[in-house]
Amino acid sequence: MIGRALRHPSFVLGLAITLLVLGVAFLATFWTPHDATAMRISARLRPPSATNWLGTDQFGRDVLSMLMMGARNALLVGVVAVGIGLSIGVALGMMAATREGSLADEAIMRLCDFTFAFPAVLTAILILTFLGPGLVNAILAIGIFNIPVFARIARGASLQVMARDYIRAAQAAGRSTFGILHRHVLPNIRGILIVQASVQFALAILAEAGLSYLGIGTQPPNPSWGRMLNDSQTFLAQAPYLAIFPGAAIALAVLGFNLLGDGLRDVLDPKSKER
Amino acid sequence: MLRVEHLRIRFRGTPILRDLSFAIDRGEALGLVGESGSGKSMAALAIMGLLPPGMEASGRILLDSEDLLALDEASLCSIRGRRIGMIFQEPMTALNPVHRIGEQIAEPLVLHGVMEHAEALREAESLLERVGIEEPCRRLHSYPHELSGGQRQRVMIAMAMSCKPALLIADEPTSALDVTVQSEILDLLRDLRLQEGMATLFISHDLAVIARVARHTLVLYGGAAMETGDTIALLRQPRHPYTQGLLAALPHGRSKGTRLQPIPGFVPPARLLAEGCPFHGRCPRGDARCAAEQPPLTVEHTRAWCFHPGRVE
Amino acid sequence: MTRVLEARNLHKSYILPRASWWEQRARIEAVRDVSLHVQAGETLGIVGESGSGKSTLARLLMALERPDSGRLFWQGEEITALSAAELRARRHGIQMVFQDPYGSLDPRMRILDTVAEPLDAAEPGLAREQRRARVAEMLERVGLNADMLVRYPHQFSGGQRQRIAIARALITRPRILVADEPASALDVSIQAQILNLLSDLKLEFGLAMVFISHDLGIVRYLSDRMMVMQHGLVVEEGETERVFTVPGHPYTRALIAAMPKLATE
Repeated sequence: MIGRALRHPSFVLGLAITLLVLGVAFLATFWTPHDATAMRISARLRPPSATNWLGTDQFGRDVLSMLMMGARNALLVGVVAVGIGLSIGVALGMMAATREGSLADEAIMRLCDFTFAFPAVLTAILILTFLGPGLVNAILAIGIFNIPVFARIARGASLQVMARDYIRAAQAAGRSTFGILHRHVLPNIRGILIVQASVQFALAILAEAGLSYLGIGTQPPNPSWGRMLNDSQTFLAQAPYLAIFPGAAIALAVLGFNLLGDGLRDVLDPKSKER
Repeated sequence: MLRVEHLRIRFRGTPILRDLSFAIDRGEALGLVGESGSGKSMAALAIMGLLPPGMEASGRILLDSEDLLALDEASLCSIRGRRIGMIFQEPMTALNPVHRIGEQIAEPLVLHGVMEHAEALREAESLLERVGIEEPCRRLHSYPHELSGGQRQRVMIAMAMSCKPALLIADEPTSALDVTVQSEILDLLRDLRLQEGMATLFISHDLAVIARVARHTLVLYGGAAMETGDTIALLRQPRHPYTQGLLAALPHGRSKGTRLQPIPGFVPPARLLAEGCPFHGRCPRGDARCAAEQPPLTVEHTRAWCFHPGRVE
Repeated sequence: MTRVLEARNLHKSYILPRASWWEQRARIEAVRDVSLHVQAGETLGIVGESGSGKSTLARLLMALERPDSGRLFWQGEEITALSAAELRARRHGIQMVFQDPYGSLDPRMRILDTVAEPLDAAEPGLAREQRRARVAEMLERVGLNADMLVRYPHQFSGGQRQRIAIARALITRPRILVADEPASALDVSIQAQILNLLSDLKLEFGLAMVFISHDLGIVRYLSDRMMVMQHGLVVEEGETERVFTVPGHPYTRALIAAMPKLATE
């Protein structure tokens, strides 16, 4: 299967980019060229040079170091927030599907509708007003918002799968409901969930950027790509590189995860023909 | 008035249909019988000029002496729906679920410039009555999902017939319907054929249905014609081993306790079929010659392409 | 003769989702007061058109759905009031073959696991080699090669998939087999193969069979006794030949008359 996987261009490219981002994030935990939080006003707004490969920002902080730490934070946000959404959302969605039409199903779906009715940012603000600002709480807020997304999708996809005869055959064979969900439904909705997860991952990163802009996400001096991007607006004319680098980083990470998601879905499908 | 001459269809070099020739006169019905992979649906699509991309057709398809294969898309568009009508197996997918019935029936009339919209709707109503829909005036404004399967099929027939085409192609029109409904639809098709003098190409996998509808039958397998002739003669005394096999595999009229005689094996993918006769490999009488050479036409009370035609041993 | 399967006065209706807020929810009575029984070695044919309730009846007989009222007996034991767990423990005795060969096998599972599924539930402690051997044996019995068990459903044709479905249904040596239009979706020549296979296995395993179909020709050929259903009711039943030669109910007569017949009959 690995051999087959390596022949899918989107999978390979997506994996490459994702590994790159992962690698950078991993490296950042041990080493960055400079201290990402150290301010040196005397060296502010320097374009890329030998000492600061990607230049410095308005406080003299090294852009490359901030970018690397930012990668770590972005990954954290993406993985944990989407993880929360996936685990709780899919469980709720599958449960609702097994009890289709019942009060429980209606309740879960209305709750999802309710959450969707509020703009995402507003919901996040509400949640963070209660919890207080910061990276961890931002992750929680984004995670909570991911739950109805996955619940909806899992429910719809599960219902489709459960209408098939092989589910009835499994029942006739004597499998319990939980066994059927685990052995038959989950593997068959996996593809859709993976693709959605990659989309949500990208959205999570963007959401964190938005929250940081409002000042309620990652707090300074903790670096965040989003905040870097937003801070750079004031200095766009003088130091465009301050916007380009974090912007490119976000775009690259988002692209990488989307490609990986697409590629994974194709690779995991036993029906996709070998090239 | 429909004359198909040496129609061949290839898909990237693999033959899908080999050298098919037949003719249908006004008011006549020809049954095209075949299982999956026989190429029968492709033949219908070729006539309509609707082959999927990648498929190439050669030969001649003459509709009143005009070669359809030589026409460009614009000319074909004016022929489809106007001079050739087609009905399909699944009425729900053939009808647009978001448009009302009346509009859909009127569409070909307006499209081909036969009538203005208002008049077309009136014609649609009379067509609905003709095909046996009750309360046609009310039904004009119904949506497809409000009708039953049999009713939808009737609507499709009305649509196909609206411009009074010279040729009607029916591709498995009753396979998805209940037996009693099927019976009514088949009668309807027969009545319309006689009244309008349409030539009808009736495609089905079901020999019993064909027996009811078509005077002449052509049996296809693996893209090649196996046997053709007068339907009753063909069914009573088939000469080709495939036709014999098909009949032997049916439980109709067979007494309990006797085993069915299926044709062993299954239809291989197109590229694995023999060069000569595609039925080779599953044929009880096939030999090396059948695999390599194209079987000749042999004529008795039916026309069979076979090296070993004749009665069952 | 023992009654391997028995149903008494089964009722099942469904409530349709509302078409609009102010309408009452419509109720469809899919199965109305249906009683039947099958004896060991017998084939009961059930004929009906769409909307007759025959598929719902199949699911009720298999206890895949609970009836609104009525009683169901598997091999003499009443199972109507059993819990889900108790029911699962008895499922190995009755199995089903479905109509759609493309939907009845999990596309993500290997044939080995699909065919073994009933076995896993009935004999959970089975050793891996034994499990594999039993599946291999069953595949050979239905005319497939044993080394195919590592493959996935999409690698097989319609007829082969039905054979796999039959292998799955019979692996626990059930006493009753419910076949819901098992050959309708297949080509004529393959249909005959599957029907022959079912007949052979029925004899070999001593099965009682419930054969559901809309095709009267096949039902006449295969079943000892038959039932005709219309709108959820049983309108006629009896010995197959009798029903065909002297049909009592007008609907039965209409069905028989509507059957397309070959000119040779």
